[in-house]
Amino acid sequence: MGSGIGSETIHLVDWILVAAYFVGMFFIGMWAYRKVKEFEDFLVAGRALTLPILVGTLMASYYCGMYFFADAGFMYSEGTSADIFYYPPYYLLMILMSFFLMTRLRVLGDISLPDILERFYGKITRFFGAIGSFFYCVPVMQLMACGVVFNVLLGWPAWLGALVGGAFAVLYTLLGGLWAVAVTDMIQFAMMFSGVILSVPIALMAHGGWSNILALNPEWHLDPLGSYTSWIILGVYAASSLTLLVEPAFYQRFFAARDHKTALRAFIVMVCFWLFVDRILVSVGLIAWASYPGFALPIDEAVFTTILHYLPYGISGFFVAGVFAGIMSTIDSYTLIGAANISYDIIKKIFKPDLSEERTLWLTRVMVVATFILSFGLMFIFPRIMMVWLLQAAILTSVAVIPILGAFFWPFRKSAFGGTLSALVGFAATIVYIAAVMVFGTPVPGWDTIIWEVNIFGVTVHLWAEMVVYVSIVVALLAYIVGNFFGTPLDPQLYRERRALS
Amino acid sequence: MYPQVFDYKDYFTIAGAVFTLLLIGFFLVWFFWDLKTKFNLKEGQQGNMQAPEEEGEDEARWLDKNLLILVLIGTTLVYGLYFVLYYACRVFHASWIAGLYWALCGLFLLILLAYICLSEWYHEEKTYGEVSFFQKLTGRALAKRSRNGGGKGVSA
Repeated sequence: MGSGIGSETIHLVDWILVAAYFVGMFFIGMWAYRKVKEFEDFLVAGRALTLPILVGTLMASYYCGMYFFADAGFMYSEGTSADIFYYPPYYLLMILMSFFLMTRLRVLGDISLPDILERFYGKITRFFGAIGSFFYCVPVMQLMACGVVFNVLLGWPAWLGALVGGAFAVLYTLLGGLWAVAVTDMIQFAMMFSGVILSVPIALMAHGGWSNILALNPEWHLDPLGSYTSWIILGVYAASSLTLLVEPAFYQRFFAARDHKTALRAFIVMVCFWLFVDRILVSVGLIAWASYPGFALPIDEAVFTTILHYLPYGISGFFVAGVFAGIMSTIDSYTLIGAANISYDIIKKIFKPDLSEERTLWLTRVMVVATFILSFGLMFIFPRIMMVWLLQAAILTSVAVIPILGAFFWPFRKSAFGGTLSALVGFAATIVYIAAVMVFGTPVPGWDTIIWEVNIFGVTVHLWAEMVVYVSIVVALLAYIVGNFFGTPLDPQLYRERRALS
Repeated sequence: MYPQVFDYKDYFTIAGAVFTLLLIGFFLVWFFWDLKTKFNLKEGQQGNMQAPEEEGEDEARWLDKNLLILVLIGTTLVYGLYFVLYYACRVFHASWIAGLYWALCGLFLLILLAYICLSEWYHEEKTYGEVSFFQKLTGRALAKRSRNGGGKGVSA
């Protein structure tokens, strides 16, 4: 094994702090184990989460460890453009779905995304939704990130880092389910962001202020568009934000809140926190460029290295533990949801309705381990992190977005067949599009993507891999309309009851 | 070694960083208070944690209009004015507008967060009959309790 940057920038005291963090997480898992009496305790923490716990768990599970690498690398290479085009679609969608979608769904009393799909469209759509959600939640990307952190810090092989970090997250999730996840998330959230935030004033003083830092940054770093065109930014980054509409971790937290009002407030507080911490990360990106100008460091490592460079001993350990925390908080969340997609959403709800609470709980714990093993195996199949995320996000979005939105906002004739057909065709369209772009497209290393140039009637169209969401959403919508037209219409009275609060 | 040329940008950044740290600290303390008072209850007492919304809460009130209006104003303010900020600073070099912008954004987010926290504490006291974190800090309750020891509550 080699040695990473940790050997140069992190003191023994810091490593002791990191070790203390791992031990602490284990004890929280043990504490949470005693609270789990039945399946609902395990999956949605007995629907008892209060506002501060919700805020912590939302923040920690949303900002996975890749935030300090891939996202932060974007700030390092593109500067302030993220402020204008990268983040706002997320803020806007989050606010709209919190007010107009999730609040209504929470009052209906479901505990998972497939529950909602079955309520409106029946068991077949539930099945597709559960498969899409499971595929999205298999934490391949997070395990890869965990491997990157161990590799950067200690020089360990990526697979070993992924195995150690992932196994630890799975251990406390096995013990306490969402109780363990939520409580550890709050502590992980505080650790993760304290280090980043502290690094900014320290770096400002080291550089003599913003005037010096901005003078060292190129003009495009201060341009609202960065080095991209507005169409690319709109097409690529707005598309990625659509996954928020069906993000299983958000639904799980909303259903785990003690009531819908608390959940809504927690989500808005989370958006407020986004506003603060995203600005801070943009600042660190600019500082990183001033410290290591002209892509002197690999893009994904620049911000992480900059933060470690400026933080004093002791605080560095706090930050490194926070980065591990960020990754583990996402691994634990998604492993838990993915496991429940199989044990609860498919096995119990479709094939074995008489499965007892105890057996469902036991089966979910088995599935937590199985999901982790599957993720670990998939790491070796997908070489690029972004492609994994793209495929996962596109499948879930194409399967679930149109049926979920249609249930509440489609004003015309509706049928169960419409929802099922939309999920099925959306899924197929995603697979076909991604396969076509991967086979016929050309990799673009600087932008970490694949683009397929298609000539249509003499006009060259550039199809980015990231645009899969637009294609699959349009196809899924058409299938939804056709399916609703040909399917047996739902009884309007029954449908009104199903919509409950619309 | 760089020359120290601190100006309003640096002071606003440091103020923003300190504010965010304080905010995280505040939620952490509130979290530990909740953990101590709400989640270490002995078995059998946790029934009161459940919301009474299934018991006949006015379903039409799922939309919190006051919060929605505040959030919409906030979004417009933060992002609508961002372009004003950009052109004021980069094109017209009127840096005082940037100072005003950050002050407005910070003030507004503070108001929004205060509104959310007060609403939640009122909700906890009124609906669940609990001692809220506000009550712990100030010694004063925001709402008269309507639910002592399991009685049916009214939603805030």
